[in-house]
Amino acid sequence: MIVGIDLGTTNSAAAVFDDGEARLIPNALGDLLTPSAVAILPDGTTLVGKPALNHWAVKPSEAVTSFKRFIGTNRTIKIGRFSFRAEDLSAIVLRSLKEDIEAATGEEVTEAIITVPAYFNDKQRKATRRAGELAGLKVARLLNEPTAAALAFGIADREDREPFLVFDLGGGTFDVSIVEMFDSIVEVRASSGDNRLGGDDFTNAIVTHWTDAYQFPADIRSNLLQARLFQAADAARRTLTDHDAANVTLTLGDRQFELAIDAATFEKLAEPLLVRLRDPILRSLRDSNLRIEALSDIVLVGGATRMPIVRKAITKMFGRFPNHVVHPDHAVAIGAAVQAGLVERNVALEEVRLTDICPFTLGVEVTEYDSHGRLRGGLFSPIISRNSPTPISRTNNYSSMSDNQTHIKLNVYQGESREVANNILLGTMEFPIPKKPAGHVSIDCRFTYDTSGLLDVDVTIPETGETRSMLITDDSDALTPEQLEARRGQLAALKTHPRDAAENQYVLGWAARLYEEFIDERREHIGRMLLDFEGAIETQDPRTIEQARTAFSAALEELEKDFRL
Amino acid sequence: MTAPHWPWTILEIEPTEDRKAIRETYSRKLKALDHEAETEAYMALRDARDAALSGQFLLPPGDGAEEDDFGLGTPLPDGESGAPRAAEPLADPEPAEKPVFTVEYSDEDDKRFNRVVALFLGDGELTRDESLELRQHLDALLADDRLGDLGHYARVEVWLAQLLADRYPRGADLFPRIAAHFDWGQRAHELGIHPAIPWLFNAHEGQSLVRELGTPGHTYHREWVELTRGKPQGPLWTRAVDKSRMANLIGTIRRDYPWLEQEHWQPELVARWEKKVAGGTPSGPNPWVWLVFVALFLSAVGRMIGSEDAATRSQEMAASSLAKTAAAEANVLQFLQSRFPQAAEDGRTIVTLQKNSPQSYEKLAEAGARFDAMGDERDRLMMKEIQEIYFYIIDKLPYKLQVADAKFRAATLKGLQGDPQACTAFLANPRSYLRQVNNDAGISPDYDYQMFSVVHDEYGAREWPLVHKNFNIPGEVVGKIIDRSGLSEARLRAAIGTDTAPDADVCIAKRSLYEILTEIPEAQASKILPALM
Repeated sequence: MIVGIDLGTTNSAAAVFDDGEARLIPNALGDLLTPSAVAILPDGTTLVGKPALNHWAVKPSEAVTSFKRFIGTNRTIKIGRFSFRAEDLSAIVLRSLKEDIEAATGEEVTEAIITVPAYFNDKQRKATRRAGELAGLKVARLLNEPTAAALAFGIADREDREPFLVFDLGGGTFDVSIVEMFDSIVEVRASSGDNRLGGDDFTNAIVTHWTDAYQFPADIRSNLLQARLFQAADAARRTLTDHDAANVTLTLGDRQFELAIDAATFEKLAEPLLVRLRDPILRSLRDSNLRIEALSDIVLVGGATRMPIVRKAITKMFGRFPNHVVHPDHAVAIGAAVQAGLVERNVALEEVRLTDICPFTLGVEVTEYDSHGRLRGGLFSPIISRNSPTPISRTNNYSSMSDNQTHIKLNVYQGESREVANNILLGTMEFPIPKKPAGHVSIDCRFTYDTSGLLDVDVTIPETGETRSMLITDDSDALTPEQLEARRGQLAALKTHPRDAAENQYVLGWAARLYEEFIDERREHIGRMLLDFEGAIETQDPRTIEQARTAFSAALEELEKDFRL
Repeated sequence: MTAPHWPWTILEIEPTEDRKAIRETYSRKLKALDHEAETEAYMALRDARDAALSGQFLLPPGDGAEEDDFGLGTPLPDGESGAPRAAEPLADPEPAEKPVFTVEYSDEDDKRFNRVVALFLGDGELTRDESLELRQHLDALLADDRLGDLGHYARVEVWLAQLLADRYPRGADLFPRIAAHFDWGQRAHELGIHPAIPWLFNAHEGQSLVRELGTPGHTYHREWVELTRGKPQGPLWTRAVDKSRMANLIGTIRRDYPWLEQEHWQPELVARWEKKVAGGTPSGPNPWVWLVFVALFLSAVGRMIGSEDAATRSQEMAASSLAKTAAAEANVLQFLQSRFPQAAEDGRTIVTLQKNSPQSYEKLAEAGARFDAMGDERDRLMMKEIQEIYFYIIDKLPYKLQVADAKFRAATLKGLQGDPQACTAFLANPRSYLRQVNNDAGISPDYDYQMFSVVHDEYGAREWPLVHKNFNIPGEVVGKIIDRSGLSEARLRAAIGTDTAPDADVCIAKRSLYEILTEIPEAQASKILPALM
């Protein structure tokens, strides 16, 4: 069975398409959203989702969040004595989601549609696909997040729609797509975005504000302080959704700090971030030849669009109120499930077609002679221009530069700048050519961009009839199938709790976090209850454990409710 | 019926303008194929649909119905319709319902738009009043809260780009401000905003270069003047043009700013210099110098021989040139006495000026000679020469003089406080500000005297290098400025670090900074000063 997975920066979700509609699958804790957080305990035990988030608040060095930001980079993330790449951690989350679906449907999950931000580049896309493979999933397709949301929005009533704009501000990325719907064909006309802008940046703005405004004692470990501050800031940001001011009590050891922020200050802090929303929107409008007035709807997706300041900015930018039909957190996963249904050729979707585009320009580096006969290197020669419909295949012809040249080195770039230095290098390939005078050897360079947004480069030398397929190689991509297998083995060796123990683990983590957050009598109280609950687990009697857990959860909830921000 | 042609052969329908029919055909054909596998067929279908929808392929090719329109950017309306319009590239191919502008424009807006267009449409350079008025309108436009509306934002952006491009060089001074506001530097490659923007950047760079080259003292000034006016300045023996510098100048301008050659150079002069530079005549003083020497020699010989004619003639010549210099000298003397009575006590007289700084004396004499009849106008012009030189050299002067300048500058800014626009104009470029204004706008006589003293003492015959500017204000100074100016830190940073802050903020921030500079320890001030000047 094919499933749809929204692998987000902050939260992930999984959905399946059956009985003619897409539905979200709850995780082991019964939640539809699973936080994209992973914790690895020193003994190799792995926690995913809420339990990991709880653990992060207590021991930030043993857990990570927001790692999607580093996917497709060489950065290694250290968790205790283990070190991972972002794709490994994504694989752990994907594996947990896969298990949730299998538990809920009783069917084996073999293939998946995984969503990525539209503005993800080739490296980030390939890394995401590897993450799926590491989790034991065949990635049937990578789907652009705003496209998925548009699919969810369009499929809701299948009516024809004039172009509408999908505004997707997630935890870590910002995407804009302009989509049109006609006769059940969902057609993406243009996409643009900023893959370094998201809700986390707003939270970080608060963290920075607090570290400037308050003096924190120097003896607190800085990464603990940062983690707790981030969490407090995140909570404050959420509070500001429907309050004018937020007060947070931050407990570090046995010290408490009262932190406060009000909506006006937050708005000022967010100003530079809000300005960055403008350019991608304008660019996508220009690319699709539309006036802003011609848009029929503004569809909001992504948790960060809940922030009143973002809504206000959107209303101001478009001079109208956005549409609320789709659920900002669920739409992407739903859309991915619809796409899964399309791939399976589900009869309910017989008439529906989705056509997407390539959101950026792809090309190679060239050297040219200018009008004075001087060589000018480092120029970008586009082969596939942005917003071309996918799949697409285009060929350009290039020729050798100097006499008796023996090799051609082909650098493949993505970006919009005329100078390659400002674009992103996707890969390099070098191959021999016959020795000839300059300009006498030509090569045909074919770029093929598939529906997953992945690029294949083929080079043909007509002279010799030789064809080479470029394996875009750069350091971060250098995983052979054997290495992939080995890596998968390593990840599998990490222990996960049996599903029925997951809930116990979650409650334990929750208690541990609250223990740190409170002091004095309440802390003692939690400590005593924790001891009791651990005793109950020791008995290994399912009924005793369940009773104890229910009581314990209720007590914890009561405690937390009184002090909810 | 004509034979079917592309794109209708792919769609398999008759040529039509009916968008719905085209889209329905596309939909039917798309559903019939597996567009994800049959790439070629899908690409062909898609291209055909887009071409069909464009309405340009109704007739078979070769009927000459369609003309390719390469015209970029539409010409400006003739002044009567001034409201910003979305540029053509933004137009929606859909048969338009009337666009719903979400921002509504009041009569006052229309008046402002029309006024801006009218100001741009005038002839020649902007006068000072026009420039100030335009700046005011621009401030109001850019500070407008409605700019948050994307439709309005895009319209204003395109409209301003169009005005700047169409009326260049009129209003070119406003370009940096507008470019900074819309962040064109980052987005220049996005031709979609307006095709002329990259060109405007080049033009602006060229214009700044011309301004610098036209200033006496610039390393290439002499060469530049030679090519533009062909009338070298300065005493005869300093007129020699360095050939390697000339070659460099010609080469650089040709390579990087070819349009400047057409705009400013005289072709015959350039041709002559090219030949010389290529290695014809030897370098050295202007050949006229030799001719004069020969003439002097001959007259001396004539006198030795005792020819009365020759003697009389040479005496006449000497007398007339004496009269000329005497008149000029009298002018300068008069100017100095009336303007700077205190100079003589400080030992700065016309004699010392001629000795210390022959160049500035020449300039003063020349300026004075043009207006020997009108006292006030003459003085003003001569003062302008001093100011010109002063602001050209101030950033290269010893630190002590710069601190002295900071004090005067702070006082000047205080005087200009009521007029933030004049104030920022002065801050941005005192030289061009003083050149534009008709009165001396807030420059105190003391400041004038300071300028004269500096020019008198310092503007010798040395070359003035360009100074590297590196701007970094230490935290404690920032604190002091905050105390003094009453601005918040964010506003202060914007005022000093960006081009987009309100004029009033910039004014008060810089004034406080200049005041503080004279109070803090030398070592600290000396780091900040060069960047400010």
